[in-house]
Amino acid sequence: MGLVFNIRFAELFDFLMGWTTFDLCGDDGKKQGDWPWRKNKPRKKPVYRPKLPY
Amino acid sequence: MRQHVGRALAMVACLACLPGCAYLRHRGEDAAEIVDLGATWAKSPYVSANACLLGLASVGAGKVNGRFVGLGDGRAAAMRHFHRNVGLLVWSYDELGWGEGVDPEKPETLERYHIGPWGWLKYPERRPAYAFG
Repeated sequence: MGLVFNIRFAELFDFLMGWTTFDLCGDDGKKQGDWPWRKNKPRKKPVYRPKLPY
Repeated sequence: MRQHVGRALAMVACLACLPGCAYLRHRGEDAAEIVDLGATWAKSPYVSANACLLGLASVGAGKVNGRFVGLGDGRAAAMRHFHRNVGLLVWSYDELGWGEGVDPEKPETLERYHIGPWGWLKYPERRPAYAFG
């Protein structure tokens, strides 16, 4: 059994700036957001996945 | 006084449910996504120790492949959880999955990102939620 505690600072700023109607994380109404300059754009390429021994 | 506060909160909750008040609902969703807090458990033992410097770099390594209960990924639930990472300060790699659809063999079901100076330069793409955390 383990414990999880994590703060996402980008989401904290997203919450605060959201009150000014600026959607920093681009996630309003979406399951997953993206940076404002990448909104509605496809990912350039898959993220490199290193082979970990565990 | 308590009645007034209760009514005000109930009114806000009702407004947030209306389509025209998606704005308030989105603020609530944003608030829920700030923190992950809960407990994990798994059938097999796993070890994970990681020190994170605001998501800019990390040191440590580990893997957790089990279930999570608490507030995670913007929702309060008991759900499938996967986390695997390696942190070498100058470069770190993380894989994180929430929910029943998570399959460690299918990278598209995981959030994956590289951090540390090398990770930020070489692999800048990441979702904002996992930019600084």
